[in-house]
Amino acid sequence: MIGAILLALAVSAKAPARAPRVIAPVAPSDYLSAVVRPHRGRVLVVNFWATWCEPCRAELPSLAKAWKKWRGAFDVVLVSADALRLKDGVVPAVLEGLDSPFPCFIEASDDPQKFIDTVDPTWEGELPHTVVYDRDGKVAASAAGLQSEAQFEALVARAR
Amino acid sequence: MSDPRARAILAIAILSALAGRASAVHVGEKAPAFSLSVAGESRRLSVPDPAAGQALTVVMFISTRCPVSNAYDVRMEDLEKAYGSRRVRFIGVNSNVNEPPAEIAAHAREHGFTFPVVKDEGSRTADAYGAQHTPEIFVIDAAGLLRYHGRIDENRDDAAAVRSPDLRNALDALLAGRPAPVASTKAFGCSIKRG
Repeated sequence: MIGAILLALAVSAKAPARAPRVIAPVAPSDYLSAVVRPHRGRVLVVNFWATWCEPCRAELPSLAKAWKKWRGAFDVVLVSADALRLKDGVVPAVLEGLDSPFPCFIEASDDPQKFIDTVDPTWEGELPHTVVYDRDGKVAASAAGLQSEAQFEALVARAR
Repeated sequence: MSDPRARAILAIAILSALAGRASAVHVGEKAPAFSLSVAGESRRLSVPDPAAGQALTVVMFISTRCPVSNAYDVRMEDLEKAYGSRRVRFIGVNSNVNEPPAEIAAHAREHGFTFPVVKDEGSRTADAYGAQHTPEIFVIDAAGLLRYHGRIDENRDDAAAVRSPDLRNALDALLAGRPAPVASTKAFGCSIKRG
């Protein structure tokens, strides 16, 4: 929880040019307070991914391109669905390889369903999955599956 | 929103969000019928198939390349061995556009699957069921009604540490004439690659 708070403080308000690749665990009960609420006042894209998910890895560069094109006008936070034991090894290594500029949490629950339902009750758990929050922290859009740069831009546009 | 480009972008986003979600079947409803070719073979399998005389049919949307689906290869085969003789019919369905029948047949052979795996060309069966990811399970009773939808269990990483064997629990209950104790569950999985 402390790690999640520190990470949230580090990434709130303004999106950094290069966030430290700290992978903070987040439990379902802390999802809103740790991941979403620190970004109130800004549009937030939360991208759920995993290192084993090929389209997840494929779409991250598109998300980074959209974010750079919009000059950081919205925040991006990643949430990994990888096993917690991969927090300090595989997950940061894959993010490093993808040159991801985004901070990342890792789902930490004893049952994935708790996390999925906390984020979006209509979500079946397929990855990748993207949820966009407006400046009030309300869900403005969500999308399942691989997104292109234009599709990410369209999702963000619905929250602005 | 008067900008035509903005409207086009919004349309892309909405269509993307709705893709494959229009025809989901829910627990208690009639499961969609299908007839598909077994990957690498000329024979077809149908659901429902009254001639098969099964009490339950387990339709498993699976993948050759998805690490989550592959994490359950042994567990799926174990389930078939445990329940196949109890009038439970297991069918694997591959709806991924990027996994051809020859690859599916080879994968089934390599992993010693004793249940058939059919190829869902065009992902039409996945669309009809509203299947979104692999592995995703649908259990259908003899009347053709969906009785369980969701995961095999909650622990993709460690079969020995499973605490919630949801599919086994559902099969045990349904074979005993009771409803599944939890009829709908979720887990993370690879999205089905539609064309």
